[in-house]
Amino acid sequence: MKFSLILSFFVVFWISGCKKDQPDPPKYPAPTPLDIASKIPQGLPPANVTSNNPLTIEGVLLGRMLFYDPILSLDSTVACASCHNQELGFSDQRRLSVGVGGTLGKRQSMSLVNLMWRQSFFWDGRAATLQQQTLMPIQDPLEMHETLPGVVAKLQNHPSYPDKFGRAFGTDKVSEDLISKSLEQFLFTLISANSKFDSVNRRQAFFNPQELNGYNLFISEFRDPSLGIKGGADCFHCHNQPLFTTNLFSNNGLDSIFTDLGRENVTKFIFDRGKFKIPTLRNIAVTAPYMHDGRFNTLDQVLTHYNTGLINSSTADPNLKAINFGGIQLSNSDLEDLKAFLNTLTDYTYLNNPEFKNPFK
Amino acid sequence: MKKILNLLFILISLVSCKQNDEPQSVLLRFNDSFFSKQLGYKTSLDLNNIFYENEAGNILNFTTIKYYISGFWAEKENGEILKVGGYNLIDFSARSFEPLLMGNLPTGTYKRFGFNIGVDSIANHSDPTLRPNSSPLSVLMAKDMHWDWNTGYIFMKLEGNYKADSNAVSKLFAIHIGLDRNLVPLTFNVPFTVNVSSRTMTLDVNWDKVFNAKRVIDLAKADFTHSMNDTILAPAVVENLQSLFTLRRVD
Repeated sequence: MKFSLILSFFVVFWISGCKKDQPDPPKYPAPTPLDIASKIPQGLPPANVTSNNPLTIEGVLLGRMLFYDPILSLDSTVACASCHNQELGFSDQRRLSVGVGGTLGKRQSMSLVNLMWRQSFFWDGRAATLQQQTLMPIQDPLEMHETLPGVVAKLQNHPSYPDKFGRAFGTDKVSEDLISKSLEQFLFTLISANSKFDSVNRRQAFFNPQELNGYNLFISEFRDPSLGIKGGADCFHCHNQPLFTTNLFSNNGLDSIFTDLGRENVTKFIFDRGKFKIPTLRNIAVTAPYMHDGRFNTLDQVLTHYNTGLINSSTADPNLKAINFGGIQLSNSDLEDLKAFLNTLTDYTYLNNPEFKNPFK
Repeated sequence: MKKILNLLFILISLVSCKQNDEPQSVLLRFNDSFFSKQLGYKTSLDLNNIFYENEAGNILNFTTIKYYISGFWAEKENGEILKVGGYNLIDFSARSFEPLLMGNLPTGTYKRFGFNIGVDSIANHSDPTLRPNSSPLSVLMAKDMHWDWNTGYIFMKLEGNYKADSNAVSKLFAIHIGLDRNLVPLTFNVPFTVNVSSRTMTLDVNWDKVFNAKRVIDLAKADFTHSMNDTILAPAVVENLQSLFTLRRVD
């Protein structure tokens, strides 16, 4: 008896619910899929997009707008692009980035490139996915100093953004989830594989003798100088192609006492002390200053560090064999050649690609 | 997902027919031990924290253990060799205790089986960017286990800290085994049966064998190799790796 009563209630609710759900015609047409897989240049791994966030033309455009719009910050003074300048490989020429009210960040702004294949984000890898990452600078008091409800409200009350969310995601209800997804979509399109190195790799160009010697040093092992055999620079362990990073964390012999614990802050694991994300070397010539704290202003200073300035510590990377000799001990002309090779990693079409530029200009 | 499928498969096969001739998915289970200490760790954290003394008197720990297992095969009684294994990357920093799925073998009895530490020369010289991102040989999975230029994959990477003896200063060691000539093919001459209740090979992995098997390795004499230009440390380790695994049981 009771059961049938419940059942009939259920049926009634179900029918009425069903009627109520008669969908209004969709307010927004379905967004246009962006076939990113077909846009991956030869020499890079297959596309690696997030399954919950397929790329669309409208989603990427919205993400690009948000990337360049200081509306994401507390007082509309700081945009993502403020610290990620396209001409500089989406990096920041300032040693430490400047947030709302002129506050200085703790670390150097990382360059943005080939993010689809980056497996953790920030120097300490504290964000596992780009969707997580994109929301963190918005809320960081040293960066955009905003709150997520604050950003959502500002975008929701904006004259045009709700419509843009509608076109990208089918709903004009702005949410932090859709903000992060649109930013991820744009950031995934930042693909670079058109440097001179890539052309050589595709057999469309040749290194000049200096670059070739630099490349050979890059991919050769360090040898104990006492052996009397010319050794290499041993760069390839951590900066292997095609991404020029292993996506791992390393202590590259900068210090023996660590003011910034790096990866240890995230893992709480003492063996991660002083380890930082191995940065990609793509566009490295334009992404100065260098290292997590921006301590080196020039590539020459970086090369000098690896050549004669390596400092041992308990977590130093075992691949830095040269650490026992203070560095890789190359001649000045070899260092120049190494730099010439690093310069071949600059992708000028990437730095000038109009699809990545400020859409408001 | 694979586990569920396997379970389903077992359940269905148990229910559907008692005399089961269906191929069985064969698993490798590793039982790692370090210098007679059974591995009780759950994450790499403990691996770093445990120091051992090897035969040469070096006090050492491991900070990294990564290696490829590939080319699993089994020989039937009639001499036919079935090759079922793909490529597997074992990384102690992302260690799971799930056994490795090797592939399907028909029910029956077998004379022996084997697999390689490392990857075969064809795969070793293939382009990792052409592999799906989920492949252990892809750029994203291999990470630091691939050198692009001519050496190919690193078959085994062992890194850590050591002291030449208990009074010495701590140094780093890094043993990177690669190059085609250093592939380690292993054969286990043990007859075994494959059926519903016998399809998991449990192997003991004695990591002290790296430093003490056919050759006694003293890190104080050589603590570093990328296999290239090395006629001392890498060949000795490769020889010792022959003794790394012993078959404990098949069930």
